[in-house]
Amino acid sequence: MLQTSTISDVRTRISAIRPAGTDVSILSMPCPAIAAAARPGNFVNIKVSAADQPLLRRPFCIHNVEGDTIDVMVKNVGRGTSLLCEASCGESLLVLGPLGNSFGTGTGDFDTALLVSGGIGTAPMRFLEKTLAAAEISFHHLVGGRSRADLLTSGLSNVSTATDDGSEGFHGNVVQLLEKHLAEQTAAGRVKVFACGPNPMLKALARFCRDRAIACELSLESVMGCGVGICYGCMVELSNADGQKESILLCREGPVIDGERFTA
Amino acid sequence: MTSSTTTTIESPAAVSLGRGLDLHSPVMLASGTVSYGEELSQLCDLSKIGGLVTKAISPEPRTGNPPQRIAETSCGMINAIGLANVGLDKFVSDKVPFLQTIGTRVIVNIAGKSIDDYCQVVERLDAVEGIAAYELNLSCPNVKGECMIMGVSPDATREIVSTLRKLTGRHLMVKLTPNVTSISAIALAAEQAGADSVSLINTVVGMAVDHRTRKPLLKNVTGGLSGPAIKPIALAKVWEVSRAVKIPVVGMGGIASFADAMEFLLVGASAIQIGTMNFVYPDIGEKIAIAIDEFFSAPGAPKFSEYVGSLIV
Ligand SMILES: Cc1cc2nc3c(=O)[nH]c(=O)nc-3n(C[C@H](O)[C@H](O)[C@H](O)COP(=O)(O)OP(=O)(O)OC[C@H]3O[C@@H](n4cnc5c(N)ncnc54)[C@H](O)[C@@H]3O)c2cc1C
Ligand SMILES: Cc1cc2nc3c(=O)[nH]c(=O)nc-3n(C[C@H](O)[C@H](O)[C@H](O)COP(=O)(O)O)c2cc1C
Ligand code: FES
Repeated sequence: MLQTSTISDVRTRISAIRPAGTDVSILSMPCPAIAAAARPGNFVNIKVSAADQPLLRRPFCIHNVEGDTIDVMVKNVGRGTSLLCEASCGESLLVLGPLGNSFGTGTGDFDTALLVSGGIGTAPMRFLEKTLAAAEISFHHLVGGRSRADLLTSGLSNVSTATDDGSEGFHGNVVQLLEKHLAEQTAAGRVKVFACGPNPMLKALARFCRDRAIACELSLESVMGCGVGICYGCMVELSNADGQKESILLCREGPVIDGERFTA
Repeated sequence: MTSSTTTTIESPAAVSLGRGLDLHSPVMLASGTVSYGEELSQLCDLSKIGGLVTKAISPEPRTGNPPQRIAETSCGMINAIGLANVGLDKFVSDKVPFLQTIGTRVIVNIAGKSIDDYCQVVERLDAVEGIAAYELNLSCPNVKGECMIMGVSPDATREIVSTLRKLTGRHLMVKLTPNVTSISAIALAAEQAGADSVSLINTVVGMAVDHRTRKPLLKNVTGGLSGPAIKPIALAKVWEVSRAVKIPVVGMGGIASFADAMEFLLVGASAIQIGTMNFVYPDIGEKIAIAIDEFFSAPGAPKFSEYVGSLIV
């Protein structure tokens, strides 16, 4: 989990926008300074419109980096995200980033990365896959959703899927899918789990990994006011198996945390 | 008892708020919206700004309220952070050394549960260089007074300000809450007890509800409303208070542009603070400070001191 240092506030325009699933769009924006400094797991904080409403910026994981351009994958859940999903090419945005820490891919203590995600939590996995592939580390995606329409696997390789309703892939959740794949993966070497998704899914996953002594990093979510550590709004409460509780500002000390801290 | 890491730049918008609180720009950044300056310094040239008000300091560290602590509302936000802060010891050891290097006045916002808490912070910080003033946040529940908020009572305000006046030679700025029947009565009590200035407004009590879940958005149920939504309230309160007291008034509440800042000067504020909008545009303080400086530097521009309070009614 690396800390980033160079943050830029970039005025940019949407250069491409394409649908990626039900209510989900991928937006591309040239942001050279952010693209150059970005690490998988980092996020950006976007001022969606110049108006007073929505007022605050909205945080999004960096979905992909292609040269000078960054992509974000946005699920329409409210005012800010609907403006983004319905935006047109050429629209102007203010993008602050890269923010937060990143996934620890360079720790050298694993042979295979298991990228576990649920719903819009798949957003950071493309950039993570790319970074792992460039470092010649083997990886396998385990992607979950309620049904087929929720699986956001476009652009990913080496994917197994799970759906709650069984409409595609394994019938069940991603933690059960992980259980199914684990024996085969651990036989091939040491594994490390990198995960992003709804907090309840991540908690279940953290417990699963702790019980099996599997290294695991989670990208959490919270409501954010500033993304840079000045509003204190993004506090999340963590507690580990020993009952130790801690409160962290997720925008500075996260969004990626060691799974050990989220098991209780 | 000096505070000078600030290089005094001769600006036509420089303003003295009394007792050594000389600002090279009337623009300050508001408490709770800049942490202790470190994060923002990477995104904003703090030396362009007249002053930075720290997050509230209490004698002991506080983690604050449980999440969810903030929620966006129409043209604003509500927060119930709960005065989370590093506490006095860590503030002095970890935060002050950086604040001494930023080239702007440092104003320490203080929050306590009792008069004794405020005294403890002031006594300790008086021995620390590089602090220009204290801003007293009296809007927190007072344990002694059965959960009464000190800042809603003229008597409690008078008591705490006069106690601190005897303790320190530094500038005392009293921060006023708008959640009272008569804000000018509180301002007058602060002035009579020896305050050097008053700052207003603190956040307006507010609430946000999700009808689908039937739950409040904030765990704390209610919170403080801030941002552009409260600007009209803030302007009216600054107008009222600036006519009631002789000490300088520092105005804030929803300032999001140069024009907003000028409106506060017109209704009687000698200086202004920017809060919520730092979250949206981290360099907004620098931009507004430069714009005000340019306005008053232009040929034929009014004098800053004459512009303050020159609203035509
Ligand atoms: C570090 C981080 C990375 C994120 N990455 C992505 C991403 O890659 N793609 C993506 O689509 N979304 C991502 N999110 C969530 C996204 O920020 C929110 O969906 C968005 O801010 C909602 O804005 P809105 O105006 O559309 O919703 P609002 O109208 O403000 O609210 C609608 C609903 O969204 C919920 N919500 C509001 N803010 C957040 C928030 N910060 N996190 C979670 N839920 C929220 C509200 O509680 C409400 O239920 C991320 C959040 C964080 C903290
Ligand atoms: C997240 C947040 C935290 C705040 N914390 C404090 C605080 O610790 N002490 C204080 O006196 N005021 C605090 N305030 C109030 C602001 O300093 C300011 O008075 C108020 O937000 C109105 O200005 P604005 O509309 O520009 O934000 C806080 C405001 C916000 C939004
Ligand atoms: S989002 Fe403001 S402190 Fe983390």
